Amino acid sequence: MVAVAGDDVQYKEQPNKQILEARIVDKMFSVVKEGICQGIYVVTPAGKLISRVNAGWPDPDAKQILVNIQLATQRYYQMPKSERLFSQVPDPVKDRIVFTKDQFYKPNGTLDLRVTKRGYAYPGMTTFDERHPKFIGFDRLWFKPSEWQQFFPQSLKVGAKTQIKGVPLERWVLHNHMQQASNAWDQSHIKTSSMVSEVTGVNGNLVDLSLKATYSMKADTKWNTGAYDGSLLGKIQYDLGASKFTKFEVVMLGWHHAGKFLDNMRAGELTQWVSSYTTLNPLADSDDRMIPGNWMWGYGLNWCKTR
Amino acid sequence: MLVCALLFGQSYATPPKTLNLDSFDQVKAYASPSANDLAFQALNWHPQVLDGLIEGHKQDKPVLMWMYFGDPRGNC
Repeated sequence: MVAVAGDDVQYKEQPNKQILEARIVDKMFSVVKEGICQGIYVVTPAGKLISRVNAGWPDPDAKQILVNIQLATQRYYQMPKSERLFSQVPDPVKDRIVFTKDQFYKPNGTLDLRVTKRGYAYPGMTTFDERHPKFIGFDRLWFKPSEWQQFFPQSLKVGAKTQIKGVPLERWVLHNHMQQASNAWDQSHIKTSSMVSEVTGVNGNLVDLSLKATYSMKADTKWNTGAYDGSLLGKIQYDLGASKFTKFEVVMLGWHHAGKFLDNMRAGELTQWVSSYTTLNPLADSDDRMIPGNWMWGYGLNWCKTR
Repeated sequence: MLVCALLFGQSYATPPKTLNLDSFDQVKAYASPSANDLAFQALNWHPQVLDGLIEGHKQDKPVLMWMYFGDPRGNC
């Protein structure tokens, strides 16, 4: 099979309904009462929906899903080729939808990091709740040059330090890089925070830095009544000759309180220890090459326009 | 934690609740993906439907579409 992972809401809300890709997707889901919506589907390349293959709630039933996929695949190969394949293959450039997110990119020299996040076990947890430690979150964290340069003290001698404020301090928590769950934070929720970078070693062109930060947050909005208290510890190495980071490892650990109990999202104790690990993005697969999850509301399109 | 590790089929040593240079590697290991966590990345996920359909046409294969708000690999 060929695999596609996409955003159903993005397809539903994009305004250009006349472009061929949009017409194919709309026709594909015209057999579904709600139109395009969340789910796992098997379709023909020509754009015919064969079957929705989801099974199991809240835990997916992998065995049943596999059976459903196999049944859909059998139905595929029973169709004549003239029905399952395009009579005229679309143009991959002219016929594709251009989404707003396609305008978001890394400026030259951006520090591209991969973040993985997992919560600790807590009383009453079930897999209905995304905070369960069975689940791991992946994201990308970008700092453009004007942002990551703030990690460096003015002097690059051992012992030199600098206090860091603004984006390089706050983006870690405002974009949920400290925890698996995704909450709506803004700057007013950061009650106290501090970050210090220190040169810990110089070896030829290689400069080693340590990064230490603490955060205390409390939200009180319609979308977020949670709290977070935690710390960050990082080990960074930069090669002045090659002008690149050779090592960037950051660990975050703290506790998160989920705020008001929402029975459509939560199960068990509302306070949980949460952890994350950030490193240089290996760019090894399509997941690594995704843009950061908070590209629209956290970075914005204007972020790309300057270094 | 041991019960949780058995349930997950993954070995989680009891993770620390303080962060310092001594506990750094333990917390890093806990928050790092296992081979099981990365299994879904073994597939070449096309992020756009059109690309998947064209590829399916070239190979004469059905297309598995996994659609979720914000992309299933990302955040809701």
